[in-house]
Amino acid sequence: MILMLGLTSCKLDPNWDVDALAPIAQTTLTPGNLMGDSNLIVQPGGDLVLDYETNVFDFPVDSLLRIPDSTYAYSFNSPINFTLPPGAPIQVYNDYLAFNVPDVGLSKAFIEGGKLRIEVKSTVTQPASINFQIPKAKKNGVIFSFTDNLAPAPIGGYSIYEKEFEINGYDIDFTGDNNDQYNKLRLEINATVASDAQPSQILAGQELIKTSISFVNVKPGFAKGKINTRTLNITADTVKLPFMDMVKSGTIDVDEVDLTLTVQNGFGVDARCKFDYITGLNTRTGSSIALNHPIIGNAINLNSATQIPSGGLPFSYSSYQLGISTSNSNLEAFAVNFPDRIAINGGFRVNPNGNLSAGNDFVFSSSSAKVNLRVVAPLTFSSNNLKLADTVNFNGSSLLKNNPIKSGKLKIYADNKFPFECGIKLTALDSLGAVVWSQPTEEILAAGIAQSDGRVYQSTPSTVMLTLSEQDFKMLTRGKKIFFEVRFHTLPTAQLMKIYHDYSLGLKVVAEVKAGI
Amino acid sequence: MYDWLIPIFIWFSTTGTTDWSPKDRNDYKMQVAVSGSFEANSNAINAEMLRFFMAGRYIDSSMKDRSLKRMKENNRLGMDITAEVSFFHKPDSGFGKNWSYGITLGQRILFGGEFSRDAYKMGFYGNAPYAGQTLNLSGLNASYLNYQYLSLGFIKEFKAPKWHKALGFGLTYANANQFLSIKAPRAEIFTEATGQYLDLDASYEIKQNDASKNKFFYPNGFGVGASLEFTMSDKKRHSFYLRANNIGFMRFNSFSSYRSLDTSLTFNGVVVDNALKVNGEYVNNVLDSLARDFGGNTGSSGAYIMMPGSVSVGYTYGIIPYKLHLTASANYTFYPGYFPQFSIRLSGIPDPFVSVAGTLSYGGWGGFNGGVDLGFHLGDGWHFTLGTHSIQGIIGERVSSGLSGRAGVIKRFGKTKNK
Repeated sequence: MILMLGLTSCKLDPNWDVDALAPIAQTTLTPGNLMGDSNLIVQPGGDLVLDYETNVFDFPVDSLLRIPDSTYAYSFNSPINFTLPPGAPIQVYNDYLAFNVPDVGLSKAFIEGGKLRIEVKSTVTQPASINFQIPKAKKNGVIFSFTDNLAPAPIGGYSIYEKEFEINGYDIDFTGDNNDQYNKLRLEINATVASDAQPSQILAGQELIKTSISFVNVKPGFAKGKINTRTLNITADTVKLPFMDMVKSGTIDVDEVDLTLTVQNGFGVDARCKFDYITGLNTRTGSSIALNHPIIGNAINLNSATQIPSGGLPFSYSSYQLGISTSNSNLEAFAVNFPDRIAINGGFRVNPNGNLSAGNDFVFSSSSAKVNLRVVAPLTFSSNNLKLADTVNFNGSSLLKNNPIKSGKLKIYADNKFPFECGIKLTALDSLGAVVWSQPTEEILAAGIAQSDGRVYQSTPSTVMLTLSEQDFKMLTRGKKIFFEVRFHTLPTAQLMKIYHDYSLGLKVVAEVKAGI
Repeated sequence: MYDWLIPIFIWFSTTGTTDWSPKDRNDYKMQVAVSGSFEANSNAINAEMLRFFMAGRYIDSSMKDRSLKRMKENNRLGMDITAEVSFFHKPDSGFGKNWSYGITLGQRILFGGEFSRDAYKMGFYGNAPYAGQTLNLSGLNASYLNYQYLSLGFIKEFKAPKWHKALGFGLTYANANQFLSIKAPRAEIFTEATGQYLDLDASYEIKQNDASKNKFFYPNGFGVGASLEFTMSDKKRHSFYLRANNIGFMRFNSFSSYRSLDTSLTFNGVVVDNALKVNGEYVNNVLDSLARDFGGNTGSSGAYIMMPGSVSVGYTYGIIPYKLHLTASANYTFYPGYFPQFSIRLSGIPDPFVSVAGTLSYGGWGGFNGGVDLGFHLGDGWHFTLGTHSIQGIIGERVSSGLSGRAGVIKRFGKTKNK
């Protein structure tokens, strides 16, 4: 048994090294990878133009119209002592609902979604029924009305009745009985004692019927009425520009940039938009440059949207385009500052001249007011040691798993058709951000060689090799992140170079490692 | 009372270490033995490498080079570690006349396989030294097995004036604990000279017990086997045996896993669609995708394997009865990489308290083997045995293969009074 138990601890732990050689990864970087294929336009000559559009601000419909969840309670209290006979009617409520819609006077609405919850408490000790009716709420031409039975309440207690209705599809007229009001909706609540009930004694002050009506998550698909004058603020530095935060140093010279700000009004009200400032902020350097353009600080008047379907929407936007170029502004200085954020401050004023539409303001659930930013620039530039950097997660301890890597080489085979050389440098950081390993020197991928017409016709191959010692790997095992820096430098230096659609940088990474078994 | 030349007490034993003092053992009615054996052998890998391998010591390049010189196109490697406790009883009554029985409880770990020269290169050097070449790993067949077993056997002796015969049969139940099987009938890998691509043409199948239940003794399945043995000897000089031991199967439960692939592909590295989107999550997704694409079909199902039984046949000639015997035998174990083994054994008892045997064999997982066994009668029914099946691995570990050893302690009870 001792021998058998000894075998249970028998564990082979072989130990030798193997030299493995294998491709790890391959990729091809194209202008589309860098800028996004949908953002690039190929010109007839094959050169590229960047056409990038993004939404800067979006005021959804609930910026203007929002029907908050509301609960209304109505009850009938007996003024005197009396005997309630069979078949007696009890009018609980017959008046307008005081509809709470801030800053908007609704005349009509089509309800897209929401619920109506009804709760009835009855102290009537005999069988009864209850009827709810909203004469000016109709679905397919049928008014909202329902009747249901109320259970007799126990003596000294009360019975409870609850019901919930989906109210999507209802057309509601808020103009009151004489069609001359806003936000007025008549509600009728009547109870009736059953005809075969027994007479019951009612005391003065007794709350016979108590009702509670709640509107929950009511979403109008369309609403019409009057919208009060108010200002929606455009203020924040929330516009982040992709990849710009990767720029760490260097300069770039661009040929031409056009920027268009488009303001669109999808609400059925007149509006006025004003940009107080548009500032490009480079958070790395702390440098900010305010855009100078005549329109900055001046109002832009926008007409109301129209109820003409367009672009799959039931209305047409009213738009205004603000063209900003290198010729009418300081856009070039603005661009080469490499702003990673754009701070925009301004306002969007609704009905700036008051309610002039005679209650014909409108909104659809899909209505919004938007500010879009579009950049159009030929991909023609010179880059002077422009350095991009980023950090990616990396689990260095995985190098110890199964077959721990002791030393090795990473070979990068490159075929570069871009007219810029790339310098690569990697640094491993621990969980606290401290450097645990750093590539001794930058490795360079050679640039594609431009011909006399400024175009590169053939890619340039080059190979770089990172040699990692056993000590290097030990340090790498402590790494939690890899910080990489890629430097771009166009060749010839300081010459504006066009980027063509067929340019690419092909990379293949091959690892040759000594691993322990 | 007959004295048998044939070693009936090793019946139903896997270690075979209790074979000693045939004259003495017939003087007792009962025996308890504890024994253990191990063997690591190959027809190509040197003993020094086996020793370092088993000890977990670092195997350096010169050591690998020396074994590489001995590599053939097809090579064998195996390891067998067994420990047993056995009990044997020859009652005076109860079973009928001349019946006896034995019970054995044991633990066995087996590894065995066959592989090509290129598989050795790939496994011990890696593919980098062979960039620009094709390594042919076809024919790789290896298996690892760990199980515990309980055997019960009965022997009936048939006595006659000229020939004494005995027929034994037994049943074994095994607790199937762990197994791993790798078969690659076709496997070639080409590494481009600079490592920019790999060409793989392979068909392989890997089976394994439930990897989450790998503790020793955990019942991942069961096995049953049967044993049958026939012995025949005259009174002094000739004996013959024919033995089939633990012929049966083992079944690992339905949680066992398999992975199979039959493909021909070129691997250029993971294709990264957009290097700018690479992050930790992307890498994990790529690894999962690689495992799906290159790992082949995977699943779980029950697995049947043959119990590593054996068949053997032998003849013993008593040169000097009870003093000096010569045995010729052949055996085969049903396990990957095992080649039929042929042996010649000379055993002698120069002194009533000492036995010595020398063996020359060829086959098994190795090539030629020389063995030495010693036995000591310590008195009062106590015996101790010690031996090796492959002494060449001890003498010349850099040029030959084979490491083995076996030892046992025997205590015999119930000495008969008619001797």
